[in-house]
Amino acid sequence: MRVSYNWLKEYIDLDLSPEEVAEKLTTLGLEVDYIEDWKKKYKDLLIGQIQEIKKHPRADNLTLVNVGLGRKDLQVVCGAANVQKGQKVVLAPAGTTLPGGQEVKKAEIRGEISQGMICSADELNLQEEQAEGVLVLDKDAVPGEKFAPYFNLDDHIFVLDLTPNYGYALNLLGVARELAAVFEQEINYPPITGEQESGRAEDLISVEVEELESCSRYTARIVEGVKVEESPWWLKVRLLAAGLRPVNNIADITNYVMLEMGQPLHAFDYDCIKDKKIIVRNAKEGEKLLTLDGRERELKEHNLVIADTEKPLALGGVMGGLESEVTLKTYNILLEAACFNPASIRKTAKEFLLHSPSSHRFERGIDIENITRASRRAAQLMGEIAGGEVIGGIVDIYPQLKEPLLIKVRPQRINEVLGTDISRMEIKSILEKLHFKVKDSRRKEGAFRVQVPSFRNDVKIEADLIEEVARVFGYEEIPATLPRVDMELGQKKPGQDIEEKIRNVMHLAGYHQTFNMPLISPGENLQQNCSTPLKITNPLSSDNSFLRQEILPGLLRSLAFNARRQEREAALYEVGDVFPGRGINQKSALAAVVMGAVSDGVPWLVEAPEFFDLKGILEIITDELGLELSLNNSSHEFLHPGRQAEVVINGEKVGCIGELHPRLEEKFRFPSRVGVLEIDLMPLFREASLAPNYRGVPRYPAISRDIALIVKEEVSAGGVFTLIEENGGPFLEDLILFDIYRGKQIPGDCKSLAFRLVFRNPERTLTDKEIEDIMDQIITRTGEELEAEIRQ
Amino acid sequence: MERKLEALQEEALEKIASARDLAELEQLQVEFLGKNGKVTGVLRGMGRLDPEERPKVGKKANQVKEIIEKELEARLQILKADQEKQRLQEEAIDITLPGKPLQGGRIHPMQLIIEQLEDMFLRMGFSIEEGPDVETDYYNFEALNIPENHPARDMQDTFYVEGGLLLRTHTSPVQVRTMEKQTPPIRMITSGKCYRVDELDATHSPVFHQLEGLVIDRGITFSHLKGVLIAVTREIFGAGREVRFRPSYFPFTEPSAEVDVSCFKCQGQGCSLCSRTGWLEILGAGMVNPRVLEMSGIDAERFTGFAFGMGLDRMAMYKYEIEDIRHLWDNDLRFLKQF
Repeated sequence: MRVSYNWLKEYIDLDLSPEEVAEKLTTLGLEVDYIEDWKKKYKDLLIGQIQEIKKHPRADNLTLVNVGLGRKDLQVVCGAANVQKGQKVVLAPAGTTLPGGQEVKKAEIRGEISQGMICSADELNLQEEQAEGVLVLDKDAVPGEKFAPYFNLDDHIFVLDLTPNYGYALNLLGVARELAAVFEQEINYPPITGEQESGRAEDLISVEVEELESCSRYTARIVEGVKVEESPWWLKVRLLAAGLRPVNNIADITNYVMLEMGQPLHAFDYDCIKDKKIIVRNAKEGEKLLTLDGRERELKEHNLVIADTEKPLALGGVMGGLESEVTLKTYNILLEAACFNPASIRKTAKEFLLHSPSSHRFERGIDIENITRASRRAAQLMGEIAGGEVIGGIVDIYPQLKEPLLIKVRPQRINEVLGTDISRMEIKSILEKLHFKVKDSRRKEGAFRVQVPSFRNDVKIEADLIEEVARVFGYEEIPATLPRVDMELGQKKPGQDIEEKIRNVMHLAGYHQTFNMPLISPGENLQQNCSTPLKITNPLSSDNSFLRQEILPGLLRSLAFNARRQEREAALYEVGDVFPGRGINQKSALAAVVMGAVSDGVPWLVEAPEFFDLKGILEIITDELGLELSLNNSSHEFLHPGRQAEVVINGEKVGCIGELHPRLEEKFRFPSRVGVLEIDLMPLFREASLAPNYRGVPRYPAISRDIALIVKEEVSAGGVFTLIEENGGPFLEDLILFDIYRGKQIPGDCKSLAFRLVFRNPERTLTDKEIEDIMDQIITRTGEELEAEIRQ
Repeated sequence: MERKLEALQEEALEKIASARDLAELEQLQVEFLGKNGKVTGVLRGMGRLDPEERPKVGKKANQVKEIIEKELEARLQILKADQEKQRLQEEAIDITLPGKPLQGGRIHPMQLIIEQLEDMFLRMGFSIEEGPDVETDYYNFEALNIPENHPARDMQDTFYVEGGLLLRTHTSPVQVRTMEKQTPPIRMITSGKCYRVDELDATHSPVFHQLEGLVIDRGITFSHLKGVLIAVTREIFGAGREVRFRPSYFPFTEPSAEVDVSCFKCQGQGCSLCSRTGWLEILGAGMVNPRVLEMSGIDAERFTGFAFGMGLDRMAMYKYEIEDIRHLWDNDLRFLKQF
């Protein structure tokens, strides 16, 4: 909603700067987004009178115009065809700026000096389409004076961002009423005459409302003999200030009154109405209507139409029809002023994507009691501006009068809710200033009975009136205090501590936390065995039309983003929610990706640094959380077939770890191998323990032995590991694989695994003999079961 | 004999004084005091002496031995000190060389904001609740006093999901879910992802984050709402910040308020960050609408409450002066590494 300050001042006497008014409006809840300074925009323009026109000596289609500015004249080179001696025009002198921001420079055009520019309406931002010639002003314009005040352009426009509850402030009088309440001013209502007078309107038109639910009041008035033409400039400027495009005087007047009083109006060409009968009815399924925007609309049964006996003429309250549109040929007007049901309007407007200033107001509710006044005001203006004859009387279908709403309001409750100490007197006065009628109770502490004015559709319950009191009293005046409460521990959400622990491990391991949108395209799903993801029925694009079932696709997008920016090394992770499938179903997951991991030391870390980087993280996480980790063989298609595993924690499959399949690495254009990990966190949240498992400080020394076993290539390190553990006896405290060797000194199809075994008995010092026995047992068993040989 | 001892003493002291290192000193120790040393030799030859002279010579010999030992020790200390001094000098390093790099991962700025806020509310005794991103129309709209065809639905353009569900447009459904399962007093916050049909650009995103809070008890007032939110705002943006409350509209609160904080970049003078208004809009809040309380089974006469919600993406952008919302989603390492 755009509010011209000059226009506003017609209804209320304000002697405040625009900034002060804006401040007040904002504190009342009518948020001023910004102020458009038209005064500044139009400040440089002057009124000039054409004194003399000479042909340009060296250009056929240019003239040299002498523009009189009272005390001095300026020569302007002009290309417009419509300049005539004696005309009053708008001049932008050289060195000034046009409203559109374009600078006017002193110029020499084919040898002739031009000291300014005579402006056309479009150059003044007063019209969208290019004008035929310069703007010619009326004779009363005074040369030399500033142009802005003459056209009422020395204005400031408040651009309001109104929330849906401020339907009643979507008009100038509504805004004025709000200001009047806080500045204790009277409103100067526009003069409306002859509202009650009767006449032959009823002979000229009949109205039948079939759908009272969707249209609780419908009025029709007739204006005969209008001359449809462009509106006078004062009217056009008002519409422009409000952001509406002038059309013709009749359409402009309906918009003007809507802006002034909040009542949307529609003018039909009376002579296009068959049988002179208006029927307000639901559309017939499949019925067609050509709307004002030139589009044919196929209607459904729930669309409310304004029809004659033959066909629909308009989409009620949303948009008129082209066939009954007021055109330059129109002579007689049927003026509609009605009240349509907000929900019905909203549905139709949304369906046809026809959000108009009119539907906007109906959706928020209009003042049903104000309809005949608004209609009369518009008819009267049509008489004055378009030369029509307003036919007395009005056809008014309003069978169920709207009863004023009465609300019980307890002054004490107001103070209880606000935490204030506002007196009964003050509460009463605030409500009355806002046009609520307040009936006091006979009892001292009794409740008020408050009658809601018909324009306040937003006020329905006591709480609404508490807000009214609060905003006029001033939010800033309400003291700020802290509540006194019964002390209670704040609780984290389930799993939150564990999630924090996991994130800490990730950060220590050098992984950066990421946030990825949970919206993906169907092709991005990596795991084959997932169920169908949840589909968004109205996505912005197919790229994000599904909810993710795994974090990895988004994480890989992020990794690719960095790879494209020449990053060679990256380690990223996310702890976030995934959506496994149908319905409301959501769980936490951890995913990580790593590219270009650097590892030195033992050979297997060098061979597959990314895989073992991630495996190391899993080991730390499970160790920190007191969980049991194992990896099983797996066959995910998106992973390298020889470098992947199922992650099993405490016996439950929770996810996968591996290297991305080289095909995918190529597809994403990753510069090197990429390790990926994704696990479901719900089992971890369930099973994890954050308490450290302290076992006491050992009192006896440990004894360590190294052993290198030569085994066939196909024997896994894990197999040897398990066998040693099984045969290591109760005092094997630690078992570490510290090297793998292949090469000279051992057979070609074999490898040597070097282990360090650490033994300790908590009760006493172990003897060499005891250790030797165990080592012998290990050598025997590994020899028997794995054909392992000791490497000397 | 005694003269011989004196000569030995003189010789020893001379040599000790000119010893240049510990090895030389050790040799001198052997030369004079060792098993076959010169002084020891004298003592050993005492057997051949006149018994009357023995004590005298013995005493002298011990004296000489002691003097030499003392000198050796003194010289040892000096040489050790010299050696240490030299070693320390040699070991001096260039302290301007760079330190050992730590390759730790960084926390995403969104997480930083969430953690700061959660921490603050936990300290005030709020509990953290959670709710699903995929919601029903009831929890997202109906139960919050936003019936179908209400213009307020325009404020939140909704993504719909198959099966008659939707993606929550705000975190407020968690308020309803909490009120349904808990009885007052309630003090909770919740945070998470929200979704609205908005093309991704510098200032809009179809997915964003909100943090939402709810307090319900006997005697909770608008004045408390102000007190708590001023405390929260100053905790995040600094103690000197001005906080402004102005009327606004949310169907689920009445009265409703929008909360602005004075722009910390320009100190309220007006700059590009605050669109020259001097204020940054950070919070929506209000007293819980009695209808909402009643729909969730709470007696609106006995209990009152306030609720508030804030956009965390915007909060992070304000706090860290992040110029483009897309940075929060790109996961550009050059961005992530700055937090």
